[in-house]
Amino acid sequence: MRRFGPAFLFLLPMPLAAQLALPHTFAVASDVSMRIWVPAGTVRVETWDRDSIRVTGSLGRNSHFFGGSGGHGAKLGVENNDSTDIGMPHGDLVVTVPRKAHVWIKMTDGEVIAMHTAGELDVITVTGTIIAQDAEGVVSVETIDAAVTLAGINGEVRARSGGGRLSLAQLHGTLTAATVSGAIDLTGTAMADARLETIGGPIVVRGTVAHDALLDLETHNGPITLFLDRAALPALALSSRAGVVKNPLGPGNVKAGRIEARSFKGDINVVAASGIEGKKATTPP
Amino acid sequence: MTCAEFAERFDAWLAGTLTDADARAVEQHAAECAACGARLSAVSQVGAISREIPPPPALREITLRAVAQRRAIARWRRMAAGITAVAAIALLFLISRPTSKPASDFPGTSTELIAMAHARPELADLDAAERDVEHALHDQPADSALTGALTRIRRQREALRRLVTQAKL
Repeated sequence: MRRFGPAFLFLLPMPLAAQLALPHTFAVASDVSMRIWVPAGTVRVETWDRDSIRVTGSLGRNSHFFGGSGGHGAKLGVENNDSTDIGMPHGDLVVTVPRKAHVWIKMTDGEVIAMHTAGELDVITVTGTIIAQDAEGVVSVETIDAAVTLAGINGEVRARSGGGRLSLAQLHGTLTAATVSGAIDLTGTAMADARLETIGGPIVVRGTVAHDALLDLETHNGPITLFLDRAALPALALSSRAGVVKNPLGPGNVKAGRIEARSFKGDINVVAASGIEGKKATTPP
Repeated sequence: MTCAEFAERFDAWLAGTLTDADARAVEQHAAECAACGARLSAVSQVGAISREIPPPPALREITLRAVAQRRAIARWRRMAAGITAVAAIALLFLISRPTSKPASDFPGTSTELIAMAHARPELADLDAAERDVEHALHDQPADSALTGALTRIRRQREALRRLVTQAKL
């Protein structure tokens, strides 16, 4: 019977979840698709080259850890001991997953930190902080007003926020980012295709664009500021219906990529990243 | 009225349950017929005597106690009916309520409210932006850039609302 136990678990259509003690280890496939629910607290996702998920950490006073796995699927999280408790379940978890795992995290208020993931990372939160760093594959983040930092990602990045700031640095892959009032701050060298869109948040871009890439920027009333290197100035197409456009650096060259920036009534400013403009010294902000 | 009809209605006349016309007919027949008149007169005299002589104290006490008992029973019956109705309503309410489930089955209510509170200022910003663009479109209805901007604003709003809904854990 013991021999058939793991096979039986593998055949389950949905992983069964049960109340478990921490730390806990689940045996899973290397490309496991997993869901993590932690309403409040911290989730730190780390990766390793093993076919298992390890969860360590601590729990809030009235919360317990639950989880289950079915080989290619796993789910785990934190919930209240008492179903009538209206407080949010709280946990501070460190979840170590196979590098190629598809990790889906849902949180209401807290901090998500994910490092070195190479499969897919999906994070949905209401508020708090989201940090994803040194990742490959797909990173998708949606939040209402959490502060988001995505850095050193080689793959496709999708970030959407209401009022939270999106700090995006050294992304090597296609990027789509949108906010309502949150600032979008993009920094990088040889930046790939990107579309940044905001209603009222400021967009700030610093760095250089890959020769075949297009940065497409749009705001409603948020200002757009481009800190660009004069020696590698991309072709610039800038327009604002009711705002002021200032570009002392000139139209640029398509050999250094392209930037198209539009605004309904926000100002657009192009600033030299460093050097002397007129009689004024400029330094990287 | 015949004597047979008089005899038939005599008890009802005594009980006072006849209509006025029937009662008059009974009394008229008693006035015309000596036998029936004697019967009515005898009964009337007994009634007058019984009204004049007070009942014995023991009988009065028994009667009053019986009346009080009947009133108490009626009061208890009314109270029991009320309690039964309230219990039936409570039972219906309990049956119609969802049964108790673990928190993981429906813990979303409060998180959705939190999400809505965080999203409200952003939704207000989107509304303001939409009004701006609609106003401009009113002046320049053929401007495709404005139409595109309006579409994107509405898409942003849909995305934000979806996020609020997804906040339900």
